Amino acid sequence: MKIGHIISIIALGVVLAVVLSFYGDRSYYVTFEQAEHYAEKKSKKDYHVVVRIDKSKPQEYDPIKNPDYFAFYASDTLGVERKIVYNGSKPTDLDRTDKIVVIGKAQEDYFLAVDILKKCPSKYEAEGIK
Amino acid sequence: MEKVTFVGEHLLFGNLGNIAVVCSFIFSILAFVGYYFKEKYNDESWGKIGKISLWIHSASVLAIFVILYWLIHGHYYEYQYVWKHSSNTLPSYFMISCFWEGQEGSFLLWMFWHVMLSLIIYFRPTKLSYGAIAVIMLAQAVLSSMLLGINFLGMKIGSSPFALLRDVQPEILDIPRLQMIGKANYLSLIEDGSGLNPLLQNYWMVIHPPTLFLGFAAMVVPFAYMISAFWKRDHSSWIRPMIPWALFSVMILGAGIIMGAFWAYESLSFGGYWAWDPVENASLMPWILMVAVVHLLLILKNSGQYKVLTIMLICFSFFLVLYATFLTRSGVLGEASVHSFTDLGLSGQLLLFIFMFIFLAVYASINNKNRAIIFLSLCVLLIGFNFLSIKYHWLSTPVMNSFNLVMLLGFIYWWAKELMNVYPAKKVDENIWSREFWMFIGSLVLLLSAFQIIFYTSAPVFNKLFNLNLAVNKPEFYNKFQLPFVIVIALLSGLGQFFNYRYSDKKVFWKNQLIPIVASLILGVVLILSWKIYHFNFALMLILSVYSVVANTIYLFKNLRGKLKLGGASIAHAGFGLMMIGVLASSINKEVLTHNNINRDFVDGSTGEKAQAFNRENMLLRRGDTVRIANYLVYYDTISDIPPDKYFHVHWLRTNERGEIVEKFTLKPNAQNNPKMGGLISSPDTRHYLSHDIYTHVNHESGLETVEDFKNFKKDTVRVGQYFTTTSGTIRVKVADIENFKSDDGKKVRLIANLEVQSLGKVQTIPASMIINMETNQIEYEDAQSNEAGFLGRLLSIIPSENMELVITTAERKPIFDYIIMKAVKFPWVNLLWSGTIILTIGFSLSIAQRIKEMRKWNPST
Repeated sequence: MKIGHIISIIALGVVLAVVLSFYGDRSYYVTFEQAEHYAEKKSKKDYHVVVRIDKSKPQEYDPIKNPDYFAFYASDTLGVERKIVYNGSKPTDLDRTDKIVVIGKAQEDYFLAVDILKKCPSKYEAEGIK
Repeated sequence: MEKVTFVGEHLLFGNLGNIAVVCSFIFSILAFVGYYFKEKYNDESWGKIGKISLWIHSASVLAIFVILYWLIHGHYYEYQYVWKHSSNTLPSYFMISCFWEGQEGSFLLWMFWHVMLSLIIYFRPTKLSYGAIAVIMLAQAVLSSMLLGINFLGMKIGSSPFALLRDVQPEILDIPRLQMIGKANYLSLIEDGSGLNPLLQNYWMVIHPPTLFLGFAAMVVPFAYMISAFWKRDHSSWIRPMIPWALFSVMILGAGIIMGAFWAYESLSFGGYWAWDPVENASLMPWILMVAVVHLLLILKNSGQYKVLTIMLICFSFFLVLYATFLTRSGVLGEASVHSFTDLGLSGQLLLFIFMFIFLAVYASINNKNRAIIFLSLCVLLIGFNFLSIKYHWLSTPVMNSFNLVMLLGFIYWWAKELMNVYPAKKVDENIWSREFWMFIGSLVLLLSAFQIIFYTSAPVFNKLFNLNLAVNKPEFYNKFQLPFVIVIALLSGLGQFFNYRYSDKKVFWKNQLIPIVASLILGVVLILSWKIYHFNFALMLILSVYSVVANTIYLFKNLRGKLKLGGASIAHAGFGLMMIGVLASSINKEVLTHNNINRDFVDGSTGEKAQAFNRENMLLRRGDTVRIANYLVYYDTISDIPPDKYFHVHWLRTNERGEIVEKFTLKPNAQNNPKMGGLISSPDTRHYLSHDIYTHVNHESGLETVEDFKNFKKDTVRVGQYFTTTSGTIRVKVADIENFKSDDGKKVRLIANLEVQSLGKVQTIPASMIINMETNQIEYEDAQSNEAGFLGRLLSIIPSENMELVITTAERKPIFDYIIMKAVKFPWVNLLWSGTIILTIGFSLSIAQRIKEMRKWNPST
């Protein structure tokens, strides 16, 4: 039975490691102001912000100048608006939706996104009749 | 409300469809009841009810399928499902894909497979078959209730695929245009459906979802046999018939998952085959658990150990299928997943069914029915208490759910103890020189691996339960755990078979190990050096994966003397090892070939260190221009336009030192400008080599840009040869020379200033003319315009003096020329991954064949 004990202890250890590391890995869905607050505290984590793209403001994507620079304006759930800079090509089919998740860190006067999450295009469903 | 008779609707089919749905629901319940009582009272008359109901149910499911297909095929857009998921131009071979674009259709597909599986069980009866069919019919009742689409006491039950468009979206009757022709004629305005998502119009999407759903459907069979065994109080004869089914579900679900990965890699622009997305994980969790179950069943068959654990895991793997369904379809993942279905408002129903099957399993498995009833009533009380507590704010959410969690763990413990009473543990000495010991360790590692994935994937559920806002979905969180797990699994999958059941001779074991260890060390080190994998963990994973392949191959040919029939496990293990080598090589040595060479920072335009920042992987390719990508010369010339698709013909050339072309190929990445889908839909194109793939996709193309008006007008007075710039300073101009011509009749004089325009590293000379009519003194201008420089220049006047001066106005706009923004990635050895999965699947099917044979031999009556 000795070996059984050792195995259970190791297994429990792994379970504990998963739970603890989950605690360490956790990041949050935040608002822009919270993200800025974390940035001031020099947090190294990337935070998630659920945003609505402001389509009345111009989006900046000039692939001839730089194909890896895309900037747009969006407001978070509290209605706070920020410029978002994404260093990559403008995500395709972005115009389909206005609600996306940006992942990244707040900078001085914009939010630098390392990733933009939108619904996988295969899961989009048709809108109503126009 | 006035009664309107709508024109042009085909209501008969929908009514038939709805009748079929109701039939399938009612007769699945009857089939369950019939077979349940047949088993309970051993009464054939109940069995007859079960049998007839099973057939009517199966026929109804087929009827739903046929009617829905008929509606899609006939373009009957009065039905919302048809309108939403198909269109007039949809080729008929993709019409089948309409079934899985929507939730209702995918439930239907799932039901279809359940019917097929129950009929297989029906025609190959064993003594557990009828109970198993009863359980599957219960699952069918659940699934068909998802299609009912009726309101019951104000609650929505299910969502019917035969719902009418005007019922689901009554606002269509209020379209202004309808007032002219009357509401009754609304159908005449709906000429076309909104179409099948173009991404699903792909042959992989014709086979990936059915395979995946067959895998999911097959997971119910081991669970159904288990419940049936509980009912029969069958202690061990359930084990052998279950093994082939467990293997089958693992094989099919695994194939379905990998097809999804392959589809993502070949047809989507994600740039990879696996992203640890919650929906991907949701299909992986039950798979890993079922792999553990397969191994535990083999231990159980051979030594009778770990019975309670095996039983619980069989149940849990089915619960995980339900949980996965809940995750992907309830909308709980929301923003966390890019793949989750939109919410149909069925989450309550889905949750209810998870609880229903848990109760079924617990109640059926326990000897002491009184205790079971107390347990179940406690659960119901707890759930009721939760509801009331949420409604009247008795306890705060975190307190409430911590309490729930403790109760949950308590119940699992209690259930395990109760099962121990029914299935007392067999006292066997642990012997580390036995195959079952290492299989158990392997299963445990699989369990832990599944636990980590479940725990991390459940973050959105924790958010709902505990009122949190956690976000934990970075791939590296999964990789850091799964890497050590894979290392151990790879080791065990190579090692395991060299042990005998119960006891193995140490000397023989080590003698057998000598060749595999030496061979895989040599091969592993060669691969490490040639692939430059110097990270310790990755190197270890590589060596052990190689070991798994080598050891299993040697086992197959030496120990089993090449008898493929017996070698299912060895082949499957070797396939797994090969897959892992492929995963490692293709992800560690993945190389982005395109580089954005614009040395300007993306934020403030400065150059320098910051400008070299991350993610500069997209490259501008001008039509006709040749650029260097890795050791290829690359250019694109043609665009084949097959509306709405555009294929860019990108030619890749490789030359040797003498400049001779040694390799030449053309990739045609596709971009579809689809306003319905919100812009560009791009599909990659990949060049496959044995050792690597070159994967390209187009992220943007000039056709998406709109033409601007000229702006930034500026007037300069210059002499010939003098440089000046436009307003923004990005274009440099000089007047190269001037010419003048007189018309034949002498009435007109044309003055031409040839402008040398330098922009984006290109120089071109364009004439700007002014034409003076000598009689009227009227002046006409012919401007110098360059689309690709975005330049406009006008020779406004010439000031005659000693050093003749010219007045030139310039203007700018965004340059217009054909270009694509392309990303190219090299994935080395991704073929090892695909061939590994094929070998794995072959291994599984050999095992299934072998286990069925074994089962028949063991009990000829089955």
